[in-house]
Amino acid sequence: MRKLHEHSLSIGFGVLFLATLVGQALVGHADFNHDQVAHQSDTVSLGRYVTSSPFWVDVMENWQSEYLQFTLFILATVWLLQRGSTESKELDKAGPETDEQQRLGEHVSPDSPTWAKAGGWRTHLYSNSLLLVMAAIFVLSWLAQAVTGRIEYNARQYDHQEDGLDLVSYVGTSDFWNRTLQNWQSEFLAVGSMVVLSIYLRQRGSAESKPVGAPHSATGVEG
Amino acid sequence: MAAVGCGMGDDREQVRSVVEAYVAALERDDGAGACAQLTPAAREELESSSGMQCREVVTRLDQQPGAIAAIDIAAVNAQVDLAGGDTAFLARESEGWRIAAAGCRPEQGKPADRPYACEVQA
Repeated sequence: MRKLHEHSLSIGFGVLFLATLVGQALVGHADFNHDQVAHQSDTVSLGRYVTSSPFWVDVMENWQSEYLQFTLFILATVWLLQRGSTESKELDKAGPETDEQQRLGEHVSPDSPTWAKAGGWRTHLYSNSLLLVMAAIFVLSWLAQAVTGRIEYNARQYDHQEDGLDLVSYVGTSDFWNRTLQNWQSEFLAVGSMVVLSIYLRQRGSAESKPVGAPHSATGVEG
Repeated sequence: MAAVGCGMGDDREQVRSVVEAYVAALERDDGAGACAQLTPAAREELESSSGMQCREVVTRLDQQPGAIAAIDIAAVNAQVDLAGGDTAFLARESEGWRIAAAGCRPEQGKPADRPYACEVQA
Protein backbone atom coordinates (compact mmCIF):
# COMPACT_ATOMS: atom_id res chain seq x y z
CA MET A 1 0.00 0.00 0.00
CA ARG A 2 2.88 2.31 0.84
CA LYS A 3 4.50 1.48 -2.52
CA LEU A 4 1.26 2.37 -4.28
CA HIS A 5 1.19 5.70 -2.47
CA GLU A 6 4.82 6.43 -3.34
CA HIS A 7 4.16 5.79 -7.05
CA SER A 8 0.66 7.19 -7.18
CA LEU A 9 1.60 9.98 -9.62
CA SER A 10 2.88 7.62 -12.35
CA ILE A 11 0.17 5.04 -11.67
CA GLY A 12 -2.55 7.69 -11.71
CA PHE A 13 -1.47 9.08 -15.05
CA GLY A 14 -0.92 5.56 -16.45
CA VAL A 15 -4.53 4.71 -15.62
CA LEU A 16 -5.78 8.02 -17.04
CA PHE A 17 -3.80 7.36 -20.24
CA LEU A 18 -5.24 3.87 -20.75
CA ALA A 19 -8.80 4.99 -19.93
CA THR A 20 -8.68 7.89 -22.37
CA LEU A 21 -7.04 5.76 -25.08
CA VAL A 22 -9.89 3.25 -24.77
CA GLY A 23 -12.38 6.13 -24.79
CA GLN A 24 -10.76 7.55 -27.94
CA ALA A 25 -10.95 4.13 -29.60
CA LEU A 26 -14.66 3.80 -28.81
CA VAL A 27 -15.75 7.25 -29.91
CA GLY A 28 -13.32 7.25 -32.85
CA HIS A 29 -14.85 3.95 -34.01
CA ALA A 30 -18.34 5.41 -33.77
CA ASP A 31 -17.25 8.54 -35.65
CA PHE A 32 -15.50 6.52 -38.36
CA ASN A 33 -18.56 4.35 -38.93
CA HIS A 34 -20.76 7.44 -39.01
CA ASP A 35 -18.66 8.70 -41.94
CA GLN A 36 -18.76 5.28 -43.59
CA VAL A 37 -22.57 5.25 -43.50
CA ALA A 38 -22.69 8.83 -44.79
CA HIS A 39 -20.57 7.69 -47.76
CA GLN A 40 -22.80 4.63 -48.32
CA SER A 41 -19.91 2.38 -47.31
CA ASP A 42 -19.82 -0.56 -44.94
CA THR A 43 -19.09 -0.10 -41.24
CA VAL A 44 -15.98 -1.72 -39.72
CA SER A 45 -15.55 -3.69 -36.48
CA LEU A 46 -13.86 -2.14 -33.44
CA GLY A 47 -10.94 -4.57 -33.80
CA ARG A 48 -10.41 -3.55 -37.38
CA TYR A 49 -10.67 0.15 -36.50
CA VAL A 50 -8.08 0.04 -33.69
CA THR A 51 -5.57 -1.62 -36.03
CA SER A 52 -6.22 0.88 -38.80
CA SER A 53 -4.39 4.02 -39.88
CA PRO A 54 -7.38 6.34 -39.29
CA PHE A 55 -7.15 5.48 -35.56
CA TRP A 56 -3.37 5.54 -35.24
CA VAL A 57 -2.82 8.80 -37.09
CA ASP A 58 -5.00 10.54 -34.50
CA VAL A 59 -3.03 8.89 -31.68
CA MET A 60 0.38 9.58 -33.19
CA GLU A 61 -0.21 13.24 -34.04
CA ASN A 62 -0.93 13.89 -30.37
CA TRP A 63 1.95 11.79 -29.06
CA GLN A 64 4.54 13.48 -31.25
CA SER A 65 3.49 16.94 -30.16
CA GLU A 66 3.57 16.03 -26.46
CA TYR A 67 7.05 14.56 -26.73
CA LEU A 68 8.24 17.52 -28.81
CA GLN A 69 6.91 19.85 -26.11
CA PHE A 70 8.88 18.11 -23.37
CA THR A 71 11.98 17.68 -25.56
CA LEU A 72 12.08 21.41 -26.29
CA PHE A 73 11.26 22.29 -22.70
CA ILE A 74 14.09 20.09 -21.37
CA LEU A 75 16.50 21.65 -23.87
CA ALA A 76 15.33 25.26 -23.54
CA THR A 77 15.45 25.28 -19.74
CA VAL A 78 19.19 24.54 -19.84
CA TRP A 79 19.82 28.08 -21.13
CA LEU A 80 16.59 30.09 -21.10
CA LEU A 81 15.33 31.63 -17.87
CA GLN A 82 12.16 33.22 -16.56
CA ARG A 83 12.38 35.37 -13.46
CA GLY A 84 9.82 34.26 -10.90
CA SER A 85 8.79 31.03 -12.65
CA THR A 86 8.80 27.57 -11.10
CA GLU A 87 9.72 26.23 -14.54
CA SER A 88 13.01 28.18 -14.63
CA LYS A 89 16.33 27.54 -12.97
CA GLU A 90 17.77 30.17 -10.69
CA LEU A 91 18.93 33.15 -12.73
CA ASP A 92 22.67 32.55 -12.24
CA LYS A 93 22.57 28.93 -13.37
CA ALA A 94 22.00 29.23 -17.14
CA GLY A 95 23.93 26.59 -19.12
CA PRO A 96 25.02 23.01 -18.41
CA GLU A 97 26.38 24.00 -14.95
CA THR A 98 29.57 22.85 -13.24
CA ASP A 99 30.44 19.28 -12.25
CA GLU A 100 30.00 20.32 -8.62
CA GLN A 101 26.45 21.57 -9.28
CA GLN A 102 25.67 18.43 -11.27
CA ARG A 103 27.37 16.12 -8.74
CA LEU A 104 29.77 14.66 -11.28
CA GLY A 105 33.49 13.75 -11.31
CA GLU A 106 34.91 14.06 -7.82
CA HIS A 107 31.52 15.23 -6.57
CA VAL A 108 29.64 11.96 -7.15
CA SER A 109 28.21 10.19 -4.15
CA PRO A 110 27.96 6.44 -3.46
CA ASP A 111 24.28 6.45 -4.37
CA SER A 112 24.79 8.35 -7.66
CA PRO A 113 23.59 6.43 -10.78
CA THR A 114 26.21 3.98 -12.10
CA TRP A 115 26.75 5.79 -15.40
CA ALA A 116 27.07 9.15 -13.58
CA LYS A 117 30.02 7.66 -11.70
CA ALA A 118 31.47 5.82 -14.74
CA GLY A 119 33.04 8.86 -16.43
CA GLY A 120 33.87 9.17 -20.15
CA TRP A 121 31.27 8.57 -22.86
CA ARG A 122 28.87 6.81 -20.51
CA THR A 123 28.57 9.82 -18.21
CA HIS A 124 28.32 12.12 -21.22
CA LEU A 125 25.52 9.98 -22.68
CA TYR A 126 23.76 9.66 -19.34
CA SER A 127 24.02 13.43 -18.84
CA ASN A 128 21.79 13.87 -21.90
CA SER A 129 19.71 10.69 -21.64
CA LEU A 130 16.40 12.34 -20.76
CA LEU A 131 16.60 14.66 -23.76
CA LEU A 132 17.76 11.88 -26.10
CA VAL A 133 15.00 9.45 -25.18
CA MET A 134 12.25 12.09 -25.33
CA ALA A 135 13.59 13.33 -28.68
CA ALA A 136 13.73 9.76 -30.04
CA ILE A 137 10.10 9.12 -29.04
CA PHE A 138 9.14 12.43 -30.67
CA VAL A 139 10.89 11.56 -33.95
CA LEU A 140 9.47 8.03 -34.06
CA SER A 141 5.91 9.11 -33.29
CA TRP A 142 6.14 11.94 -35.86
CA LEU A 143 7.34 9.40 -38.42
CA ALA A 144 4.46 7.11 -37.42
CA GLN A 145 2.09 10.06 -37.90
CA ALA A 146 3.45 10.51 -41.43
CA VAL A 147 3.11 6.79 -42.27
CA THR A 148 -0.42 6.40 -40.90
CA GLY A 149 -1.49 9.86 -42.06
CA ARG A 150 -0.50 9.03 -45.63
CA ILE A 151 -2.68 5.90 -45.63
CA GLU A 152 -5.62 7.78 -44.13
CA TYR A 153 -5.10 10.60 -46.68
CA ASN A 154 -4.91 8.14 -49.57
CA ALA A 155 -8.13 6.46 -48.42
CA ARG A 156 -9.90 9.81 -48.80
CA GLN A 157 -8.19 10.39 -52.15
CA TYR A 158 -9.35 7.00 -53.46
CA ASP A 159 -12.84 7.58 -52.14
CA HIS A 160 -12.93 10.69 -54.36
CA GLN A 161 -11.31 8.96 -57.38
CA GLU A 162 -8.05 10.82 -56.90
CA ASP A 163 -4.45 9.59 -56.94
CA GLY A 164 -2.67 8.61 -53.75
CA LEU A 165 0.68 10.03 -52.66
CA ASP A 166 3.97 8.42 -51.64
CA LEU A 167 5.41 9.19 -48.21
CA VAL A 168 7.77 11.96 -49.35
CA SER A 169 4.99 13.73 -51.25
CA TYR A 170 2.63 13.33 -48.31
CA VAL A 171 4.92 15.09 -45.81
CA GLY A 172 4.79 18.13 -48.11
CA THR A 173 0.98 18.31 -48.02
CA SER A 174 -1.17 20.74 -46.10
CA ASP A 175 -2.89 17.72 -44.51
CA PHE A 176 0.34 16.60 -42.81
CA TRP A 177 1.31 20.08 -41.66
CA ASN A 178 -2.20 20.96 -40.53
CA ARG A 179 -2.23 17.88 -38.30
CA THR A 180 1.25 18.76 -37.05
CA LEU A 181 0.97 22.49 -36.41
CA GLN A 182 -2.49 22.40 -34.82
CA ASN A 183 -0.94 20.21 -32.12
CA TRP A 184 2.33 22.10 -31.79
CA GLN A 185 0.69 25.48 -31.24
CA SER A 186 -1.43 24.19 -28.37
CA GLU A 187 1.57 22.57 -26.69
CA PHE A 188 3.66 25.72 -26.91
CA LEU A 189 0.78 27.81 -25.58
CA ALA A 190 0.35 25.46 -22.62
CA VAL A 191 4.08 25.52 -21.78
CA GLY A 192 4.30 29.29 -22.15
CA SER A 193 1.21 29.75 -19.97
CA MET A 194 2.65 27.50 -17.27
CA VAL A 195 5.95 29.41 -17.30
CA VAL A 196 4.26 32.79 -16.90
CA LEU A 197 1.27 31.90 -14.69
CA SER A 198 3.50 30.11 -12.18
CA ILE A 199 5.14 33.48 -11.45
CA TYR A 200 1.93 34.99 -10.07
CA LEU A 201 -0.45 32.12 -9.25
CA ARG A 202 -0.18 29.35 -6.66
CA GLN A 203 -1.58 25.89 -5.99
CA ARG A 204 -1.06 25.02 -2.39
CA GLY A 205 0.75 21.69 -2.05
CA SER A 206 1.58 21.20 -5.76
CA ALA A 207 5.14 20.42 -6.85
CA GLU A 208 4.45 22.61 -9.89
CA SER A 209 3.75 25.70 -7.77
CA LYS A 210 5.81 27.89 -5.48
CA PRO A 211 4.73 27.92 -1.83
CA VAL A 212 1.70 30.18 -1.54
CA GLY A 213 3.61 32.76 0.48
CA ALA A 214 6.66 32.82 -1.78
CA PRO A 215 7.29 36.18 -3.52
CA HIS A 216 6.61 36.57 -7.25
CA SER A 217 10.32 37.26 -7.79
CA ALA A 218 11.45 33.90 -6.34
CA THR A 219 12.87 31.84 -9.21
CA GLY A 220 13.59 28.09 -9.34
CA VAL A 221 11.52 27.43 -6.24
CA GLU A 222 8.91 24.67 -6.11
CA GLY A 223 6.52 23.83 -3.31
CA MET B 1 1.16 0.72 -39.01
CA ALA B 2 -0.51 -1.35 -41.64
CA ALA B 3 -3.48 0.03 -43.46
CA VAL B 4 -5.93 -2.36 -41.89
CA GLY B 5 -3.82 -4.42 -39.53
CA CYS B 6 -3.71 -8.17 -39.87
CA GLY B 7 -6.19 -8.32 -42.77
CA MET B 8 -3.77 -6.59 -45.16
CA GLY B 9 -2.69 -9.69 -47.14
CA ASP B 10 -6.27 -10.92 -47.44
CA ASP B 11 -7.38 -7.48 -48.58
CA ARG B 12 -4.83 -7.40 -51.39
CA GLU B 13 -5.93 -10.83 -52.61
CA GLN B 14 -9.60 -9.91 -52.44
CA VAL B 15 -9.02 -6.65 -54.31
CA ARG B 16 -7.04 -8.48 -56.98
CA SER B 17 -9.70 -11.17 -57.27
CA VAL B 18 -12.58 -8.65 -57.63
CA VAL B 19 -10.80 -6.60 -60.28
CA GLU B 20 -9.72 -9.70 -62.22
CA ALA B 21 -13.31 -10.99 -62.14
CA TYR B 22 -14.56 -7.61 -63.42
CA VAL B 23 -12.01 -7.49 -66.24
CA ALA B 24 -12.68 -11.13 -67.20
CA ALA B 25 -16.44 -10.46 -67.28
CA LEU B 26 -15.94 -7.45 -69.58
CA GLU B 27 -13.75 -9.52 -71.90
CA ARG B 28 -16.41 -12.23 -72.29
CA ASP B 29 -19.17 -9.61 -72.60
CA ASP B 30 -20.77 -10.80 -69.35
CA GLY B 31 -22.60 -7.72 -68.06
CA ALA B 32 -24.15 -9.48 -65.06
CA GLY B 33 -20.76 -10.83 -64.02
CA ALA B 34 -19.19 -7.36 -64.25
CA CYS B 35 -22.05 -5.69 -62.34
CA ALA B 36 -21.69 -8.24 -59.52
CA GLN B 37 -18.26 -6.74 -58.80
CA LEU B 38 -19.61 -3.17 -58.44
CA THR B 39 -20.79 -1.53 -55.22
CA PRO B 40 -24.58 -1.14 -54.99
CA ALA B 41 -24.12 2.66 -55.18
CA ALA B 42 -22.07 2.36 -58.39
CA ARG B 43 -24.69 0.07 -59.96
CA GLU B 44 -27.51 2.44 -59.03
CA GLU B 45 -25.68 5.46 -60.39
CA LEU B 46 -24.92 3.67 -63.65
CA GLU B 47 -28.55 2.62 -64.05
CA SER B 48 -30.00 6.03 -63.20
CA SER B 49 -27.59 7.90 -65.48
CA SER B 50 -28.07 5.51 -68.43
CA GLY B 51 -31.72 4.57 -67.95
CA MET B 52 -30.72 0.93 -68.61
CA GLN B 53 -30.04 -2.16 -66.53
CA CYS B 54 -26.48 -2.32 -65.26
CA ARG B 55 -25.82 -5.64 -67.04
CA GLU B 56 -26.96 -4.13 -70.35
CA VAL B 57 -24.86 -0.97 -70.21
CA VAL B 58 -21.66 -1.90 -68.37
CA THR B 59 -20.12 -3.72 -71.33
CA ARG B 60 -20.89 -0.85 -73.71
CA LEU B 61 -18.84 1.75 -71.84
CA ASP B 62 -15.50 3.11 -73.05
CA GLN B 63 -13.23 0.99 -70.85
CA GLN B 64 -9.64 -0.12 -71.47
CA PRO B 65 -8.96 -2.58 -68.66
CA GLY B 66 -6.23 -5.23 -69.10
CA ALA B 67 -4.10 -6.97 -66.50
CA ILE B 68 -3.47 -5.51 -63.07
CA ALA B 69 -0.41 -3.26 -63.05
CA ALA B 70 -0.49 -1.90 -59.49
CA ILE B 71 -2.59 -2.16 -56.32
CA ASP B 72 -2.54 0.24 -53.38
CA ILE B 73 -4.79 -0.34 -50.40
CA ALA B 74 -5.47 2.49 -47.92
CA ALA B 75 -7.70 1.56 -44.97
CA VAL B 76 -11.12 0.78 -46.51
CA ASN B 77 -10.33 2.13 -50.00
CA ALA B 78 -8.06 0.95 -52.79
CA GLN B 79 -6.71 2.06 -56.16
CA VAL B 80 -5.90 -0.44 -58.92
CA ASP B 81 -4.08 0.57 -62.09
CA LEU B 82 -4.68 -1.61 -65.14
CA ALA B 83 -2.30 -2.27 -68.03
CA GLY B 84 -4.87 -1.05 -70.57
CA GLY B 85 -4.71 2.47 -69.09
CA ASP B 86 -7.77 2.41 -66.86
CA THR B 87 -7.78 2.84 -63.11
CA ALA B 88 -10.37 1.34 -60.75
CA PHE B 89 -11.21 2.51 -57.22
CA LEU B 90 -12.58 0.04 -54.70
CA ALA B 91 -14.32 0.27 -51.34
CA ARG B 92 -14.76 -2.36 -48.67
CA GLU B 93 -18.47 -3.18 -48.45
CA SER B 94 -20.40 -5.56 -46.20
CA GLU B 95 -20.04 -8.32 -48.81
CA GLY B 96 -16.30 -7.59 -49.21
CA TRP B 97 -14.29 -5.41 -51.58
CA ARG B 98 -16.27 -4.02 -54.51
CA ILE B 99 -15.52 -1.60 -57.34
CA ALA B 100 -16.81 1.90 -56.57
CA ALA B 101 -15.45 3.46 -59.78
CA ALA B 102 -14.15 1.90 -63.01
CA GLY B 103 -12.94 2.97 -66.41
CA CYS B 104 -11.21 5.94 -64.77
CA ARG B 105 -8.60 8.07 -66.48
CA PRO B 106 -6.82 11.15 -65.11
CA GLU B 107 -8.19 14.55 -66.09
CA GLN B 108 -5.82 17.12 -67.52
CA GLY B 109 -3.50 18.63 -64.93
CA LYS B 110 -1.81 17.13 -61.94
CA PRO B 111 -3.66 13.89 -61.12
CA ALA B 112 -3.40 14.33 -57.35
CA ASP B 113 -5.14 17.68 -57.54
CA ARG B 114 -8.27 16.58 -59.35
CA PRO B 115 -10.47 13.50 -59.56
CA TYR B 116 -10.23 11.00 -62.39
CA ALA B 117 -13.00 10.96 -64.99
CA CYS B 118 -14.74 7.60 -64.65
CA GLU B 119 -17.15 5.63 -66.87
CA VAL B 120 -18.68 4.01 -63.75
CA GLN B 121 -18.74 5.83 -60.45
CA ALA B 122 -20.89 5.99 -57.35
